[in-house]
Amino acid sequence: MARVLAFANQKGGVAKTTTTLSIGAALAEMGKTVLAVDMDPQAALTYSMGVDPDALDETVNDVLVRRLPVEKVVVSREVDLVPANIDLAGAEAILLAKTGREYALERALRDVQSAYDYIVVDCPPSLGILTINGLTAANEVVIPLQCEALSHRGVGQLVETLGDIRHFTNPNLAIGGVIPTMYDGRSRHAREVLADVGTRYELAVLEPAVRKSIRFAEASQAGLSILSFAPTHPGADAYRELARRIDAGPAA
Amino acid sequence: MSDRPASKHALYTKTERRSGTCTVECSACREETRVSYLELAALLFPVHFHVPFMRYHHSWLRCPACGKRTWVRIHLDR
Repeated sequence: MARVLAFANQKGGVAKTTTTLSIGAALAEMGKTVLAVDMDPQAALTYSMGVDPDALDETVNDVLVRRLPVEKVVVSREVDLVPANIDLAGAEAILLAKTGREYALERALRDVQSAYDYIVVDCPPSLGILTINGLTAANEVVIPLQCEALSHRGVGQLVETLGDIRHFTNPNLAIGGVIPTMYDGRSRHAREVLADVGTRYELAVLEPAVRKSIRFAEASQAGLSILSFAPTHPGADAYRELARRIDAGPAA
Repeated sequence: MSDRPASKHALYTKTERRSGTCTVECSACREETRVSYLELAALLFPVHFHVPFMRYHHSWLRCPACGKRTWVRIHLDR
């Protein structure tokens, strides 16, 4: 059975997609079979894996709304991908009218659980029904966190939502930990934010922190993970180490 | 947990739960449908099977959504 990791933080621009893809690619480098699921209507993961979202006929939207089997929409790249495009924005409205709407992704992934070691889910930057689907389908949630003051508020809201998820849909959801992204170790502020988030919410902070670099944006533009685009870059090494830690077991 | 229907908890199916109801998840059409216990009893008629622990969709009866006799899962807690 696959281990399902949801990467979530309702704050945008904290490197959720980069982290999802990089951890997925690092796990694949370790010989694991990985399926990446794009649950964001902005389709950043799909684009970052070299797939044009606008050229797709069938996406995760068809899986969630039309109950199309996952295998029918999988695209092979560095890791297998269930792509998304802007159509997914409509799925939210359709799902809201359905009983069992939180379980749409969990139901769909049940068919492919035995084919993969890991399923990594890139959640959208919101706490709506798509994120709830990602968290309901997951064994663990990993929280990418940009180390700046406003992140506190976002993490607090996310932790509240994780409590709701455990109460309503997925009592076994574990928190894999926080991954510090876009980290600038020279700034005392970044170090303080990281220490505060760890203690205030009793969350494990997974290390090493991933430093800010233009190479991540270049990798996305090339449709590759940082591990393929710049294999010796410190960011690639950081994600390899983080993937090893994740593979070793839940941190919290 | 807040009981305000317009709160963020409105996103969850469980908050719509009325007493005397459960949901039936179909393996064929994959719909999940809320039914009353009386409706469930009608779906069980005239023949049904249950194989607890053997499979995820552990009951064989008529799906209230697609009308097929097929394997379903009854969620008493949703």
